[in-house]
Amino acid sequence: MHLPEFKYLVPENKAALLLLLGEHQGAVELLSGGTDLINDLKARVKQPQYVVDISSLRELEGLSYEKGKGLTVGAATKLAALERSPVVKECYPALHEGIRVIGSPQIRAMGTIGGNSCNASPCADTPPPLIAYRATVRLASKRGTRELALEDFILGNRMTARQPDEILESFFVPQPWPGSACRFSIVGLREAAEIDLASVAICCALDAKGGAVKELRVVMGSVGPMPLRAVQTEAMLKGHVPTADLIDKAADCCAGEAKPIDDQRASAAYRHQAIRALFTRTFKEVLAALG
Amino acid sequence: MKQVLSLNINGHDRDVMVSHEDLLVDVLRDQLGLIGTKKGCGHGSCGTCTVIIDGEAVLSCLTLALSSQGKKITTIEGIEKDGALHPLQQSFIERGAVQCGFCTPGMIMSAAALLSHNKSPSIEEIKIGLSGNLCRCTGYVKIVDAVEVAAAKMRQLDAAQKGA
Ligand SMILES: Cc1cc2nc3c(=O)[nH]c(=O)nc-3n(C[C@H](O)[C@H](O)[C@H](O)COP(=O)(O)OP(=O)(O)OC[C@H]3O[C@@H](n4cnc5c(N)ncnc54)[C@H](O)[C@@H]3O)c2cc1C
Ligand code: FES
Ligand code: FES
Repeated sequence: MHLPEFKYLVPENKAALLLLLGEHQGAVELLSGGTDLINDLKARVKQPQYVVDISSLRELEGLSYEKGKGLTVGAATKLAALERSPVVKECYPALHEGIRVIGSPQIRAMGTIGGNSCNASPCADTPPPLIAYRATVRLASKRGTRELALEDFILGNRMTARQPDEILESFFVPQPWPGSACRFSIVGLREAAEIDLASVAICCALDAKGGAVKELRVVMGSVGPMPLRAVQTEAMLKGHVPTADLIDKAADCCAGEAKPIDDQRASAAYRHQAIRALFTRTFKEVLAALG
Repeated sequence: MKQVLSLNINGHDRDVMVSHEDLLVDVLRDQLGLIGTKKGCGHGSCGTCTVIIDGEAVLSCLTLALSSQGKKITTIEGIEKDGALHPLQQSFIERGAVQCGFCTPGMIMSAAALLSHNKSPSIEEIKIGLSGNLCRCTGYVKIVDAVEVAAAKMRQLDAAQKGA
């Protein structure tokens, strides 16, 4: 299939990119890895006047980690580069898992972490673990920069808080809570190149004395228009020792907080059950990792 | 609007006339006659359009021709050396890993990228490395086998070269 007509532009650097976006507000689609955009162009879901290629802007790529502070990742960093990063694997295992399950080696070699959040598909695999890790995003335009929590950036199915003249510049993922563990699990139809039916990311820290849940984030994917935090489940567990009985009640609560739809891949009823099972499995994995 | 684009393909600079919206897979096949690269789904799911760009296996059906400028592109036509088949091509033939052959170029390009990053992949790692390539004929067993055999052959060649 052929693409609709557009003008292809490559800005020389970030400053030129921001000027361009300011000038052609609303008429531009950014091309990073292109794994979402090219398909959207083919399907005529998007018909921009300009396609602006940011894939060669080194300023938007790369990661740096400061122990005790956190991880900064450029929006145009390839998923494959993050998958290979020892820091991501060791310090942010749930994010590593979210990347590992994406598409195929070719999709991970092309696709970027910024594209995954900006595209704002409800089934995207990196936003749930990133939100569980309390990630923030930095947006830049020629008007300046601003920072917001990733959960406030992704507003709905294919909707973000990004203004037409802004780019997503980078993510900041703070150092996980001391004494915490974080895991991410998905349910899908097959291993590679498919879309999740449901996913759950959990970050949890226990009180050193007594073992009650001290800090907790539970984030669900593919069961709502955007990643959903299971806030009632979080409140139910916080301050309590996670006994088998409580985990069971929390799993019911979590399934109740999901807002899935019926579609050709699974029914809403199945997805509620999947969330229940995923919550239980993931929470037990977190507890096992905490020892 | 057409413009001249110079692409580095299989070690040679080739000039082509492209529109801004032309995809690499179409330029390779229709303009350069490099029809070894196949177009299957056109959506990123089947892997038969896989080429290697700057060392990574990527999908030419999701790549604009213009964004490939200044990069090193390798297609299935470019992996033989001085008329001798690449060990992967040889082992695909020897192990009977080819039936209709439509998936084969993409399989070989994904395997070549895998072996450039990992010289001794486990069977599991080979399966992951090829997980973006669909085959509707073979059932994959002989393909995985062929990649394992080629990897061993390439390690031997490497060792022989170092010894020489
Ligand atoms: C076969 C296939 C399988 C897939 N499997 C999965 C999967 O399992 N899980 C999953 O989560 N995703 C999957 N995807 C979707 C896709 O690969 C990912 O969402 C990927 O991370 C997108 O990144 P990209 O760089 O390719 O985005 P692009 O296509 O380049 O961009 C996507 C959108 O985001 C915008 N954008 C990109 N970067 C920026 C930026 N820095 N600032 C502002 N806007 C920006 C673009 O303008 C565009 O609208 C799959 C896609 C395909 C084709
Ligand atoms: S044709 Fe490119 S992945 Fe199928
Ligand atoms: S040999 Fe026919 S698709 Fe693989």
